Amino acid sequence: MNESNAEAPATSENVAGAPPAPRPTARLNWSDLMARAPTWTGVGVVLGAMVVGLTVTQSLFLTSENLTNVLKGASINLLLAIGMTFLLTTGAVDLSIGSMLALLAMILAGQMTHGVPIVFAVIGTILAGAVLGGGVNGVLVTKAKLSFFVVTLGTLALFRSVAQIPTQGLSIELYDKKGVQLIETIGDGSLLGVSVPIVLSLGLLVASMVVLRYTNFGRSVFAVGGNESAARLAGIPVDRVRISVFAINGALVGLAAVMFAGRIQSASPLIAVGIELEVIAAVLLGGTSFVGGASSMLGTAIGVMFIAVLQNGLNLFGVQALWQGVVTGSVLILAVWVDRIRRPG
Amino acid sequence: MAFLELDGISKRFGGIHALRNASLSVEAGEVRGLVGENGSGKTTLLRVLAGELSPDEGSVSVGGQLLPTLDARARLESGVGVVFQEAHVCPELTVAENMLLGRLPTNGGAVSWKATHARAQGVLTDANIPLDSRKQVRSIAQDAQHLTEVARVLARECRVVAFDETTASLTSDYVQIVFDVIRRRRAEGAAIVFISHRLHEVFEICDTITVLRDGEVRGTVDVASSSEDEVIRLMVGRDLKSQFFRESADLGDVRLRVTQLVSAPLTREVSLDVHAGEVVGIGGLVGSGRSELLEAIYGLRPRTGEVVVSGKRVRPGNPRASIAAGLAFVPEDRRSQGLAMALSVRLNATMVLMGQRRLASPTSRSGEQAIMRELYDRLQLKAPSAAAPVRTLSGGNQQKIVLGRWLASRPPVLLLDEPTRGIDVGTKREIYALIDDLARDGTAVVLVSSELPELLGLCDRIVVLREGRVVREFGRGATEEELAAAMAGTHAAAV
Repeated sequence: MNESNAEAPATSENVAGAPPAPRPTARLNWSDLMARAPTWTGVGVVLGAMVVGLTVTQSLFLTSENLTNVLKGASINLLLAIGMTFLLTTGAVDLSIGSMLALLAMILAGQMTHGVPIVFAVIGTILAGAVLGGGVNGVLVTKAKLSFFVVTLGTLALFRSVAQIPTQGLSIELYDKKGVQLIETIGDGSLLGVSVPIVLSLGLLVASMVVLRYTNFGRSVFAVGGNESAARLAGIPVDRVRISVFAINGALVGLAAVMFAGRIQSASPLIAVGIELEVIAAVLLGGTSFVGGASSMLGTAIGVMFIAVLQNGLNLFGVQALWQGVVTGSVLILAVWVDRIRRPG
Repeated sequence: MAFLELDGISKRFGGIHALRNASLSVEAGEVRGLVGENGSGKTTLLRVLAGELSPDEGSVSVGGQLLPTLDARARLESGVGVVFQEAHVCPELTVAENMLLGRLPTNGGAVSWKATHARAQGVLTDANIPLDSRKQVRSIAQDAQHLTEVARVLARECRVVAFDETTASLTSDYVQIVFDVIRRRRAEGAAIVFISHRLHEVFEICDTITVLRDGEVRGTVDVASSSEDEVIRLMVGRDLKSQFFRESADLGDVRLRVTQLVSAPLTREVSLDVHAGEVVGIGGLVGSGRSELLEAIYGLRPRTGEVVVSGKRVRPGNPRASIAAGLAFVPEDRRSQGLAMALSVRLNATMVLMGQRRLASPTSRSGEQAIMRELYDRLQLKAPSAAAPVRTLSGGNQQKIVLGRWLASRPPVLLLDEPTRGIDVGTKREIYALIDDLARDGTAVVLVSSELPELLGLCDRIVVLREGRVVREFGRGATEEELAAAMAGTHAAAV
């Protein structure tokens, strides 16, 4: 939901008395078209090409089993990427999400070990995420006026360390705990023939689009990212917006932790190391700007799928795991560069 | 062929012609004024000259030599220097480094700091520029930073020098320094282009004036045989009296009462009453504490003393509380404090509305439409669409958004800081008419301006600040001379 794209059907939304938008010229103007296309167009086209290419060359690709696996695998990254898109829209980033995810998985496992009813344990984990995100990262950034980079780099180390303390770094098995069926369903199961994690993450994607576009909070997120001091002077509660965005991100990390634990039926303080980079890469691929104010939730979803399909393709082609980082890293730089030369100025 | 030739320059941005076959030829030893409303193409022309922008058609030549497009190095070598509206300085470096950037004197491959500072300080002293070459640019005042750029042009001994609104952010002392520099470069045979919205400056310093309108050259006149009115006519394409004068309205109750306001470091014991329907001007030189006073009233700065709006005391420190009490504030710098340049007209226009509503509430379609209607109908906003990024709008239209976002909520007190800075003559008059209109509706307006005709034409009362204190108050009928004397602290002229 690029801020300007979000309002793309300008002519139909124009109020009475507004001058009509200039009529598009009959001749197709290539450079205008390029400039007006959404930021994720390039990545979307390449994603489409990859899907076609894999369908043609790899018979295993277009099977429902493989596709479900790809989407399921992408659902955790999609949740994290939604939160990161909110943050990047305000011009911030949370580098601590990998550590936070591990800590929240351990919090979930701790509750399950101590017999907390599973529904409360799941809700508690999501709320704990909101507190770690909003109450710790968000408050330090806004109230202590520290850079988000410093704060979340600090909590990246801190959360990971705290996650290891209770078990001395060992993992907790969950398959024998009461209520494991629920988190398994959330992370890996299906209801009425549809995959729960896929539906959950796509549902939250749609919800976040609605929030960004149709709520006062969503518009304020853009305003704060676009120009913080202008937003403050206009009376927008900038700190509350920033803390909320960190809290939303944390809650999504909490849900991702539930999915992660449910999928592997255990919790380990060493999971999700470095996942923040993968997530930020996906969001940037989707055309969200690093400087705030402009973002695209749809682009984020495409960016996540792009990386998931790329990795799936590399697997199907039998490319060694060691080499996959070279490919994904190069593709990220290439995609952002293509976008840069596509929009001069 | 003249020394500087811009020949048949055209440039399109999307569907808009920023320049249409614009030509400009300036002789060596000539100062050419370049004037036109915002969006008329002045800055675009200078960017082509500076090699920042490649024109769709046309060429630039200096001394008979064609300059390649988009080649800043070639400009440097053929002695073309452009001082832009926003300072292009490296704040972490010293004044000397900024002046000699790209050609620091070396000694056996290493930079010779001794030679660097000797050279830079020599240029500064020679031109009477009160800067220390060893100071870090970050540590000196904003307007002094701009002088660094002027000094750079001198250090490079440029044969073609262009100034884009350089004087807009300078105090009158500094303006005189720039004028001295211009006169000296002219005597040494440079071709000079001078852009300013202040016509009296253009008439003071220039030999000839070229007028741009809608990207086309509308005429070039001799300063000696022309008048401000003629130039304005060429600029706007219609007759406008150069002076605006507002009739006083009926005053109502006191809407804003400021008592013994003190705010470190600059505002000292200011007391002020502003009535409904009254426009009170705040005059003073740069550094006199004008903007700081407005910011303190709005609550952006810690303060002691009282600010009372419509009988209710306002706590400082929170713009939301100030807005709820009925204050509205249009800041001086619309780029850094007013607008999110990359975002849409609609989002920028509705920022105040967003601040007034609960975060969790849905967007208010009717509220947004009311604001957009106000902008289009009452303020005559010209924008390609409500979804267009505000950076694509002219300065005047941007300012209309910063102002217009407040109007829907009918604030009883409007604080305006330089509401017409860097805006073309036509839009200026529209904003004057709007201020008049608002006062007539019973708004209490506080207007900070560095343009004396603006203060004299609009205000019922003018309060003059010096070093943060009110030193003089004028009613209707003051003259520019009296005002200037009170601001500068010379009483001689106050007859």
